[in-house]
Amino acid sequence: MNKKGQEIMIWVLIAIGLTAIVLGMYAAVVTPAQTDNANTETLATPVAMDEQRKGSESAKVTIVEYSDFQCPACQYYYNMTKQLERERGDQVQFIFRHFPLQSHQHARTAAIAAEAAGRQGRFWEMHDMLFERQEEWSKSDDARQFLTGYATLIGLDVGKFVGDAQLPELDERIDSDIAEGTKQQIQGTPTFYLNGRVVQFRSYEELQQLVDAELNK
Amino acid sequence: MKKNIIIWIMLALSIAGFIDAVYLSIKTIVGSPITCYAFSGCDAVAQSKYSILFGIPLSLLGALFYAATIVLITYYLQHRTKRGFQQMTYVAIFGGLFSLYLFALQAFVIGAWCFYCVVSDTIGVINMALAVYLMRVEK
Repeated sequence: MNKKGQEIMIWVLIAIGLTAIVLGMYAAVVTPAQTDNANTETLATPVAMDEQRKGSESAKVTIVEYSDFQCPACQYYYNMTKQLERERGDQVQFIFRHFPLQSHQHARTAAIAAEAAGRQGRFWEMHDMLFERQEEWSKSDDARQFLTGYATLIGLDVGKFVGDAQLPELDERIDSDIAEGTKQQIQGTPTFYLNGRVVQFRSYEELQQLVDAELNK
Repeated sequence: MKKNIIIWIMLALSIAGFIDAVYLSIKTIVGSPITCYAFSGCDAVAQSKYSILFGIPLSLLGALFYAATIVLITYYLQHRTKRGFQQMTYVAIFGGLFSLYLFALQAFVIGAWCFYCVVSDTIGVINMALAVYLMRVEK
């Protein structure tokens, strides 16, 4: 083969190689990972009465979320669940379970703040505040100062809030949620269960379709 | 001789960079929903508002960039022209500077790291260093 022929050959090989890489990666991404354990697909621990819940108890649809207040992905999804609450609030029940990741410095402190607010019946108000102002407190060196500020904003008795935040029960509750999540083999946050089955969605429209499918059952 | 080895290393790194960027692009476009993983950081970086330039995901631009680098290096290995050498090294330096910008964006603006972005950016910076070295040797 002459030099020109060799050159053409090399370019053809490069084109084939690059195309193969693209196709191979596409196959790797779109093929869902095989899970050996059915635990990851269905909710292992049923919803209990004393959990952080919102919405009607008789709702046809129950959404359990394992979440981390400092996780940007959770904040992204917060906007979707909030919209769902506005549009289908009477038909959907939301359950929040803590899964603060170790990589997020203030995640546990925020979880405790939410639980402490819960002692005054304002868990969800603090929940909303934490997600809406995530940028602010999560990047601060002194997250506690912001959290106390939010307690004032949502009308909590701040003295009681600060005192409650020290209670070992709050830590135990968060630990218990983490233990459940670990048993469930949660890989990351947020992880959603819709009527006990794990679900994935990328947009509000997809979430709406999933919920409507359950409502129409 | 040594110069040749460096060029081959740049080619190998560019192929690795291409694989990485293609994976990230496909994941951004059709992949699973964004998540913060227990052990490998958040997808948030790859989905943040900074991940899109002129309406195109940066990961896709990265894939095109590494494909162009592969083409330029291969062309230089075949023809060994001065112009080919300049194109190869300038593109590598541009890529390295852009990678440094992306490092800074993750560290100071987004405040989070994405594994595949870091791999791509590291390759970009190493290729720039090798290109600068080649230019000094060439002089």
